[in-house]
Amino acid sequence: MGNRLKGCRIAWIGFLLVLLLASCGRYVDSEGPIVDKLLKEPSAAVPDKDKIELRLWSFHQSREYDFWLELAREYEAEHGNISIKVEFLTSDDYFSRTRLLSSFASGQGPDLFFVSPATIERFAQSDILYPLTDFFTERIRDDFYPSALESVTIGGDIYAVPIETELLGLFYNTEMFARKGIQPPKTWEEMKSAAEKLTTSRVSGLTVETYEGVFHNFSWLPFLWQTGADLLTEDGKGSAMSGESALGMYSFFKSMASEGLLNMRPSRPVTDIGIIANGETAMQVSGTWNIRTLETEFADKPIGVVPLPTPSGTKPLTIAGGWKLAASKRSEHAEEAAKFMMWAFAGDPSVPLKWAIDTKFAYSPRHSVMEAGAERFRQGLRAVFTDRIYGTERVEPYLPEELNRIFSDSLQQLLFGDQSARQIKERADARIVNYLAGVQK
Amino acid sequence: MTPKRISARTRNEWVTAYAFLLPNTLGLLTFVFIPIVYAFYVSLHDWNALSPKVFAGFANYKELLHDSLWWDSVLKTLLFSVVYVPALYVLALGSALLLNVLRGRVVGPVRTMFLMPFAITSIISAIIGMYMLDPRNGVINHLLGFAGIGPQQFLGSTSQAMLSIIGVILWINIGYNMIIFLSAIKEIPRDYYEAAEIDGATGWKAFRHITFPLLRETSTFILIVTMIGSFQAFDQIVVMTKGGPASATEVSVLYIFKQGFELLNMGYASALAFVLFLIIFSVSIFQLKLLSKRN
Repeated sequence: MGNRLKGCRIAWIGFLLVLLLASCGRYVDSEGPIVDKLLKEPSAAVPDKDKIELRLWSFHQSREYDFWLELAREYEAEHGNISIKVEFLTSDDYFSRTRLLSSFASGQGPDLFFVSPATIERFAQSDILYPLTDFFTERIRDDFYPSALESVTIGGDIYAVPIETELLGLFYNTEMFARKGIQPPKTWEEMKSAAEKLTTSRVSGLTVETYEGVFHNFSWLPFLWQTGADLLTEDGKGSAMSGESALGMYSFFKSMASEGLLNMRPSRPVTDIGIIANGETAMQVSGTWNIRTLETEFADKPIGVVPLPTPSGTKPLTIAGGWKLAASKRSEHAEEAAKFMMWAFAGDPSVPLKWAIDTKFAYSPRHSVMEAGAERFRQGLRAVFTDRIYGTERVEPYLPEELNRIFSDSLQQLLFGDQSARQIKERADARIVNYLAGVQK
Repeated sequence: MTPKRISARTRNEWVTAYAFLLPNTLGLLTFVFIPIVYAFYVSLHDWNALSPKVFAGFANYKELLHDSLWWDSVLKTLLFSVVYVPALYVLALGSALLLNVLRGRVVGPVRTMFLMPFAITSIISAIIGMYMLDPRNGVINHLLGFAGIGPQQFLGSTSQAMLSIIGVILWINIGYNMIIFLSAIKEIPRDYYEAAEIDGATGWKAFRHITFPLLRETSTFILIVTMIGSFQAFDQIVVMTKGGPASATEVSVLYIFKQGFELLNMGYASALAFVLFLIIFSVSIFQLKLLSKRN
């Protein structure tokens, strides 16, 4: 009897241990199990002491991560004295900025890393970015689109190499639309009407990013711009929220939220096209980076894309973002890092073309690359982006973090708060005015 | 008068005691006291963690007096504490009392069930809590459906998010506090209950006049530690809501984190952290005095 009890106890403890290990060991993330592998396996072997080692921090995965590995090997083959170590960081770590920041603060930062419009100004202000102005000859400058160069120029100096241009569009479930006999929306009213018809207890009408973060503001800025409003006036010295235009966006989307037509708690970040592919929503605001996933992982899913709907009578308008590659000024080998970046994304068009077309889908910020891949930008859903969305974009501005936060807070109020659209707009306006007054003081 | 001589045995005991205390003292110095002093030093500067510090005197402290978002976050922290601390106390004590009367094979599994959420990493517990509260596929909405209640937004609602978080953190922490109560209850001599039974005091009366008074020291410990913990709630909130929606769950520590690591106002964030430290310290002293007086 005693032995039997003891046996039962051991079995019970064993069961609990298995349960515990199972719950700790299973990695549940939309990014997939590859993250584990990437975290455990740095790309380069033990560095040669005679070589200059450059550390590149990447958040990319799968093919995109392989691209950086291959690029590093290619550069090493051409430059015998250089070794490039590609290190993986999860996108959460990368986008939250705390990891990059603490690494620089402790003197352990990478030599090469990615910046976005949301972060470039802060890094430049903190004197972390190595200026590249002298590397950009007139010929190179002529090849880059002016807006792309503008996005990396601060105080007259160029601080990063733009590697891609990514645009937002409205993805929609073609089957759901066909079943109800609805055409993909062109205007806000059509979008709302479609959401009303397609919302069920299991399917949300429209998914736009609701979680705070870099992508939150990126997703909503084009809707604000479409009303003719903005956060700052053209000279950057005043609030552009004081007029009545912005009220249009806050009122319209607040009504959609209060009528239950928005996906308030998406199952994953809205950068991930899996939301619409898994039937969670009828429409999703997301970007060009999803095209490759749609062509491969979700090839059998009925998903189409159209330009972002606009208020009636206004022209199509979307936002252009995209990552830029920068070198750390604090690196011992900043110049070598800069040479690598210029070699990769400002030289032979084949490298940026491989990145934009074969590895992922994005547009190149360079004339020569766009010309070289002209036809390949029109395959499948890419044609919609190329023919109907590309050319209607406005570049994502680099704003101080305080302004990003003010806009983000106003969006959170729009989605979840009790304030009226007018109160939200007026509070955002007052906070911008207050912030600018503080800066001018 | 000859000085009192210390025996060799006492001296040895002292040496042993100090030897045991040394690692903890060093840990406290390195990870608590020095950072507190350094935080105060940083709070007197304008600093973004990357550029050199610029002395700013008490400017950061003056600024926080007028920062309505900071005081909002303090208010949310207080709200969190006011709901969480008594709820945890009552539920942990209640479950300890229930478990104390349970007999037989069921005791082990029930105790394990209570402890499981605490035994796994708090982040994983928070993620499990998120799944349970998911408006579309969560088990809580599923159960509410049986009771004829429509799906709730929970973490996606400004009015429900804080209570939902409190619910999840309670679920995580009840087991640990229950075990502390249970061991204290087990320490109470059986004779007291037998004597009370002879006098006709059983059930509620026995609890009120024997169990509860004899648990005062344990209660003081749990109330103070839980209160301090509630002011420092951070990790589960970051995982579940990141302070949203619409800042409804942006408690003080999260606000400090955002000021420091998102806005890079390290000097200001340090001033906020120092003020929060003073608030926690004052409340703890007040609570300790109050409870000691009652004892």
